[in-house]
Amino acid sequence: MIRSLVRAAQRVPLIGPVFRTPPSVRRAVRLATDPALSQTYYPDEPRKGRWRVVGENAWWALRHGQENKFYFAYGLDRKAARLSDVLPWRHFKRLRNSGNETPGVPGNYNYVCLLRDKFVFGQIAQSLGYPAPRTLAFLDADGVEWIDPRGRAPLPSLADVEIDGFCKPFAGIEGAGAFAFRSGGGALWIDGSEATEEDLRDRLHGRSLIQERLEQHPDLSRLHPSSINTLRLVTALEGAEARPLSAVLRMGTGGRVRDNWEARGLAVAVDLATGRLRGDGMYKYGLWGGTATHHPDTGVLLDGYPLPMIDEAVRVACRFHEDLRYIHTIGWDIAFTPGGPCLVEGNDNWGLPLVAALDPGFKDRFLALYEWPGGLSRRPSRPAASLAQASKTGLDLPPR
Amino acid sequence: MSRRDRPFALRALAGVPGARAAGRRVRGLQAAVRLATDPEQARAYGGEGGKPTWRRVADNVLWAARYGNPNPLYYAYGMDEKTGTSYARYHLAEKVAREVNRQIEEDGAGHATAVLRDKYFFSLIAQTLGHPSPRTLALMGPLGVDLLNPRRPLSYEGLVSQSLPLDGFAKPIGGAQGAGAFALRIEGGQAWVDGEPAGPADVGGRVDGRYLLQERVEQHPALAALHPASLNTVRLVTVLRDGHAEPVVACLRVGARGALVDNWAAGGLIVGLDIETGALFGKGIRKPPAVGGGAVFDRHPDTGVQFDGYALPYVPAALDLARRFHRDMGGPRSIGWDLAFTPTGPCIIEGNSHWNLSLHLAIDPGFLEPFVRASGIDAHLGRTLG
Repeated sequence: MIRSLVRAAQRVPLIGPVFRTPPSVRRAVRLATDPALSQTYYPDEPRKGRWRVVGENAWWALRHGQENKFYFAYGLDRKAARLSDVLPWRHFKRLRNSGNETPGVPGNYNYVCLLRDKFVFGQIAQSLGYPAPRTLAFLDADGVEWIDPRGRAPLPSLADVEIDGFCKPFAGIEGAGAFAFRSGGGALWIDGSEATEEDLRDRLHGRSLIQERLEQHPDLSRLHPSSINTLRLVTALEGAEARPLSAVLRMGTGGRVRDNWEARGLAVAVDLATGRLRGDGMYKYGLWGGTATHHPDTGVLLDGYPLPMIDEAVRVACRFHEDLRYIHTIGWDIAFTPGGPCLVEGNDNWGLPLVAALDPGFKDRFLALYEWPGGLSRRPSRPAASLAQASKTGLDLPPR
Repeated sequence: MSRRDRPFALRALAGVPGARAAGRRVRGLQAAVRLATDPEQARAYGGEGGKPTWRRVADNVLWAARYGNPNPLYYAYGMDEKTGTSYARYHLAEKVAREVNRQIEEDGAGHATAVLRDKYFFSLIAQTLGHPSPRTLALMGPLGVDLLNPRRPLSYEGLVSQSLPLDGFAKPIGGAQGAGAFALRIEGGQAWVDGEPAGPADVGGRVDGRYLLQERVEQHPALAALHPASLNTVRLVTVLRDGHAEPVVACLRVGARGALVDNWAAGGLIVGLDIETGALFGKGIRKPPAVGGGAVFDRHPDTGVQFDGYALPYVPAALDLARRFHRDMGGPRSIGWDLAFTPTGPCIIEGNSHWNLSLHLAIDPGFLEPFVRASGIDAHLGRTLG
């Protein structure tokens, strides 16, 4: 009877939407009630009741306009946790972008293309002397353009050149469109399988680049040898000086070549003071969500595992960030080679969930970067140590 | 007349809503009439076979009514001549400029623009791609410099007293139209700024933000013959379409009166460059507000070199260089390149996403059709050009 009345009311023009449940709330309730999606990441701690979990998810969706997919990964289903312990995505995104996409110089432009365009990023890193994967060539459906020495050749000619590298689109994110590429002796391999020229064309969407494959440090290979396991280090500018904000190690699983969280990778917090992994590994929310004390393939104990050259990695990332002074916060992807750290990518649009799920103190450190003239409930005016202040120091070139 | 010296009635009127805007309009119309009836300006750009005075007045009054201020480039565009740039053509150029800017925004929020506008990052990209461009020697701030290769910070005292001789050109990293740029030479513990002896404090006093010090480009004798004091550069516009970049229009900018920069806004001259033959065509044009006022010249006023037919070296190589660089950049859809010519070949000084249409409009308004066709923006303009 009540359900019929509600359905009838939903069809009435103008007042109908009031009686319709917003899609985000429906998704939030499904997230909270689906046994596969609502696995806890903290089985040893007391949990909130089922109705409270459903209510909190629905409230979050109503208040913020979208469901909190990382509710369980953030550990908000624990009795001791409060919704205010984590930043809502929209709130975080607005803050992050206010520092990164606000023009730092006169004129309507900003500097994020230096990070988003992987080719530009690699070339600038190389010219400033920072370690980054070498770009070998541009690739599109028509042909290949070699960088050193410069020259253009048809796509089939690739098969005759010995290459062991990684192919990725100029502006891809989260590993989308990237694949391992090998060629030589008249054959091509994509992600380890032999491929034809047509297969390669199908995998190319627009312009891509081929970068040399990195040789991984043995300590990282021990965790999962088939993927390049990278450190996600978030750095922030305070004045003209960059400082680390949070660090997480991502590693592949199941023999996959990518280490991304989206590709069923495992992420573990990194203690920058000791250079060791801290706590359990965590999968992204979803059907394979949950935690792991040991790597599922190699059996390596994660908690306390030492990472090589972590200080050097932080130093290189901070120095590069100081050169990119108009971008307030950057999420770096750093690989470790036997010779030292290598900056694979820098991201102005770095994601919150990875660091927020693994680093409990992140929210406070992040909010402290901004000024709050109207209190925390109001919009911040700008990054606390603003770029204007940085330039007032005169020699706004940090000592090397 | 200062605000306090104005009659009481005028000051009282200023409080009436809309009175200030109306006042600005009236002043704009007055200036337009002065411009239209100024015999000096009309003579400066030729004035033979031109429109009668009443038409010039009507043109400028209409312009001021529409835009609120007079058109300082009225004579430079040849709008005073019966066969010169018509109003319809100017409005088309305006639409084209708006469309170019819209495309830059559409292509990604001025994203690629940062690489072009920031001279430091531009030089880094050029160097790593192997495109010839001036080598960057140092980054400069108000209190000191960061010498590159190897990197070491120095105060201005340290820079002047260091043993390595430097001969370069300093310019603001995000600057435009040559503003703030100066020549800097350091040798044997002595510095020269724009050719004048200077102390460390004088050098630092010229730097009011982030500056770039680039090595001086040695100019090809054929370009030096036009005006040796300035680095005379070609402004070449390329258009990227379907992954291929093609040059569309070009002009040469030449310094004058011993100036170190060749910018039009800084008193330099502009001359048309035929990209097919590599030779200059037409006359040299000086911008009206520049020192000495607007004027056209058959020969360079300082060196006497005749412009029309003067052949520039390495033009095909310069076109090829701009083509390759634009293709490597992958955007924006049109770029205005500043190219210098050394004794060994062309050299890219910078690329401009928001390149100045008025240079080419003043030289030859006919460039619009090839540009619109090559860039494929005719569909967006709502009309097809013949």
